[in-house]
Order: sequence, then structure tokens, then C-alpha cells
Amino acid sequence: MSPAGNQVEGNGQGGRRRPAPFGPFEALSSLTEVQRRGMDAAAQVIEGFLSALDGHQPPPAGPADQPGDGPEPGFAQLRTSVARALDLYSDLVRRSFEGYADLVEQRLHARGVGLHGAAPGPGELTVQAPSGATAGGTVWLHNTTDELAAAVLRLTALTAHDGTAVPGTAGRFDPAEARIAPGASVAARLAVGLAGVAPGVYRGHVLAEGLPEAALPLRLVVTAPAPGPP
Amino acid sequence: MRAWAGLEEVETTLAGYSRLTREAMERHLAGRLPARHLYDLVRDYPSRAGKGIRPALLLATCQAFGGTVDEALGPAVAIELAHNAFLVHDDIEDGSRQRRGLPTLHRLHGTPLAVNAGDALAVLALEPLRDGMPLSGRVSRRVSDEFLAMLGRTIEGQAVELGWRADNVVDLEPTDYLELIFRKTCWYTTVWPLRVGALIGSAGTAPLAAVTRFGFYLGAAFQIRDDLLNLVGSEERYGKELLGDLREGKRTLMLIHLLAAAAPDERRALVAHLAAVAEHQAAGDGGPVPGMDPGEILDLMVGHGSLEFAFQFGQGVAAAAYEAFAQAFADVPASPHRDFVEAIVPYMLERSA
Repeated sequence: MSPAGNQVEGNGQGGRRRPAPFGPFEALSSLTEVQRRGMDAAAQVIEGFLSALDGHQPPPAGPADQPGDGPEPGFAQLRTSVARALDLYSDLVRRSFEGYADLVEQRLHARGVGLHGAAPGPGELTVQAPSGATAGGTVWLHNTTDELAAAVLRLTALTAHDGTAVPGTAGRFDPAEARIAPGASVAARLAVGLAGVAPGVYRGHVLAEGLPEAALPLRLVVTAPAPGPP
Repeated sequence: MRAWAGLEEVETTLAGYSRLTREAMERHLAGRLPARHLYDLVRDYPSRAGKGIRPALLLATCQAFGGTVDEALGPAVAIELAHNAFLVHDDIEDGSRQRRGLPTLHRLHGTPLAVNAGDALAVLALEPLRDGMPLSGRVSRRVSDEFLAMLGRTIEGQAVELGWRADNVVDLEPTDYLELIFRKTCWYTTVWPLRVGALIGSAGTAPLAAVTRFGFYLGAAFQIRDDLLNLVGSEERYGKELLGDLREGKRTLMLIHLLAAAAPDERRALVAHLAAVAEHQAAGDGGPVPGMDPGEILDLMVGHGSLEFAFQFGQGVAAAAYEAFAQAFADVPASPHRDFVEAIVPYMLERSA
């Protein structure tokens, strides 16, 4: 289309104009002054924009599609394949973590009063100390109901694989009794005295009197006594 | 690399991409309520078959860079919905009467409902970009970032143009016009589809500066041609009322040239006309547009060579587009998709509608 009936040289109606055989714009010697003005003005606008972007490279001065320019096409495909594989693995990891986070969130949002270890969510609380010392950990009570909750914390007997037991009375909570406002959480410090307790792994539960559904599995690891001073 | 048989073959491929996108868009918009005052209006412009150049550029570029249609279909739907949202609002802002051969949405349903439908289209455009896409999280986030940046640039460009009209800015250079259409039109018409196609197809590894450059040259040459068609095209094929840009006081390359080339008395009359149009638009009373007759302005443009200037200027930009394609796709292996992108350049730049 030419409003005044002129045809641009080398740009036939309905056909394709092949890329110029030389560098950018250099071979377009048949351009009229206005055409060149259009080309230069457009180049000024886009290069000004691109120069503000990180990683911008000006258009190469040589022929556009000469072999040997830039990386091999095969390299670009390899790079893409590697990026896709890495994305696949990173998404798998991300989705696994998201699935775990959803489970934790569901548990936290379940309405009720729950007992948790230092980290919210399913699992158990592990406390560890040498024989003769005191093992300590933190127990959390989360009240997600609309009502005030009250509980007295207690420790069950902790049993090793061979039947050796640490009595529940070895455990002390501070505070031992808790009143938890609706939507609030209370932390209690657990201390388990290990005097005379043999090294080993013992398992039991923290229970909350007044909250029959609340229970936190506890794993007590008793290591060998620390060596005394020489 | 095979040679394309001609524009008909490009149109056939274009129609295939367009159908694919339209069907996905229809699924996306189907069954939503309330129908009468919202979703019937939302579905109106998308159902008026456009050429679908944006999704076609995106889908073909994605495949040329090694991706699949499935990966790019969500973003293709997103850009088409955003395009329709822009059209609804542009038609109101410009007081346009026709869109794709039919009355504009605000003429059919009134401005309040049309504005709301345009808002809905813009919001619905974001949905296909959510994590449900078959893309990695990293690429998906980059596509969303690109989409939001594109929306911002387009809206900013529209504001600049409306500001020129409202303030009756008349001392403009062709570079000002190119800066404007870079933001207002090129980003969402060509730059974004090419960038996102390359981004998805290469899994984010392709450098995007070269496709951005190509997209700008292509979009700018396309817009200059579109502006010319508004003056000298066929209304039946063009789908919008001819000379609408003159009635709206739109700062096209031809008007910018005329303002610089006109004799002092002609320029005074023209500036006064543009001021009257600006006042008329600000009043928004919908009455007849005051000032000079559009045919009279067109005669001035012909007499001062403004149409020829814009045509030649556009041809220079088009030549740059051909060059930039070769640079942008230099590392892309030969394929029918690469060939289609190459063939769509003359299609866009030599169209008559």
C-alpha cells in the first residue's frame, strides 16, 4: 500500500522481503531519506530502552545469519533442556514442601486444643541429656477454640526397648497448670531429672489433664555421663 | 527453511492459532453468572473474531524456541483477554462507534456496564497465568512478572496519549510518537507475545533483548500502517469507522507531520480544531464532534504529503523489523513455527485490513 501510489523499492506487494545480506541497515542503500529517518528514529527509541536493561547487547554489526556468530544452536537447545530438567526437580522439591506445609497448616487450623513440641505440626518432642543431668524441652499448648481452656500437664512413664522405665514423676513442668485464652498459646518448660537413669532411648507422652485428646509423643535420649574433671 | 506459499497460507495458520485460543477463551468464560449485565458483555468482544495476531505470535514463537502449545496457551488466552479489556475501555475513552464491524460495547449497553465488563476482562486475564499452568514455577513467575509489566506500560502509554489530547499538545516529533506507541501498543501487541514465547519455549534461557527489538520494530510498523488504514482503508474490511482518528484528535504520525508542514493559517485552524475536540471529549456529552470536517483534514494531509511521509517512515521501520527478525531468531533451529513468525512480518506490514 502506498497512499500516493509510490512503491518502496525492493518491497513488492504480497511478497517477502529477505533480510539484507549485510549488517544492520547497511545494505539498505535504496532507502529514501524518510525511510532512513523512520529506521533511525525507531532504533534510537528501542536502543535507548534496551540500554537501560541489564544484560543488553547491541545488535551485532556483522551479517545476521552468518555461521559462527553466537553460540551453536545445539548449545542453546542443550541449555534449554538443562533448564527444564532443573525446573522439574526444583518444582518437585517445592511441591513436596508445600504438601508438608499444607498438612501442618491443616493440623494447626483444626479446631481444638493441641500439644506441640517446639516446632508446630505433627511429630514428637525430643529431649536429650547425659545420665545424671537434667533433660529439658519446651511444650506448647495451642487453643484454637473460641473458649477458655485449662489443663494440668503431666508426663507418662518413659519406657526403653528393654522395658526399663523412667517414672513420669521424674518430669516437672513450669508452669504445671495452664489457662489458655481462645486463640492463644502457652509454653511450658519440661525438665526430666536423669539421676540414676541408664543411657538409652525412652519413649512416652506428655498429656494434658482436662484435654483427653491432646497428647505429644516424647523421645528421651540419655547419653553416657559426662566425664568428670581429671 | 521452507518458503511460505503466500499470505493465504499465513492466514490459514493464523486462523488455526486463533481458533485454538478462542476455544480456550470460551471455556474460560463459559457458564459464569450473572450473564445479562456482566458475562454476556464480557463474552461479546472475544466472540467478534479478530485476527488473533498476539496469541499466534506467542504460540509460534514458543514452539520455535522448543516449547509446546500447551505451555503457552494460558498466556495466549491472557493476552487476548487483556487485549479485549483494552479495546472496551479504549472505545469509551475515544468515543468510538464501531468495533470489528459492529457497534461498540458502550453503545450497545451504556458506558457504566461497558466499563465494568472491561474491568472484568482485565481481571479474568490474570487467571490463566496462575500456577495451574503446565510451566515450572520459575518460568510461571517470570511470565506473570512480564504480564504485569506489560499491563503497566500499556496503561502508561494510554495515559500519555490521553494527556496529549487533554492538554492539546501539538509540538510533537516522530520520536515522541514512537515512544508512545512503544508503550501503548507495541508491548502488548508484539513485544510481550514474542518475549513470553521465547521465555517459555527456551525455559527462560534465551536472551530477550533481540526479540524485544524485533517486537518493537514490528509493532511500530504495524501501528503506523493501522493508523494509515484508518484514513485510506476500506471500512468494511477495517472494522472501525474511517477517519475516526481525526475525529478523536489522535496524535498519529500523519497529524504530527501535518502540524509541522501546514501553512500558519492551516496550523492555527488545526490547533483550534484539536482544542475543540479535547473540550468535547472532556465534556463527554456524546454530541457531534466540533471543529473541522475530518475530510478537510485528510485533504490537508494529502496536500502536504503527510500520508506519504508516514507510509515511507513506516517502510523504514518495517525494513528494520526484517533485519531484527534475522538477529532475534539467528540461534533458533529451522521449523515451520520459525517460518510462520518470519512470514507473519510481511502479513502484518502489508495488510489492507
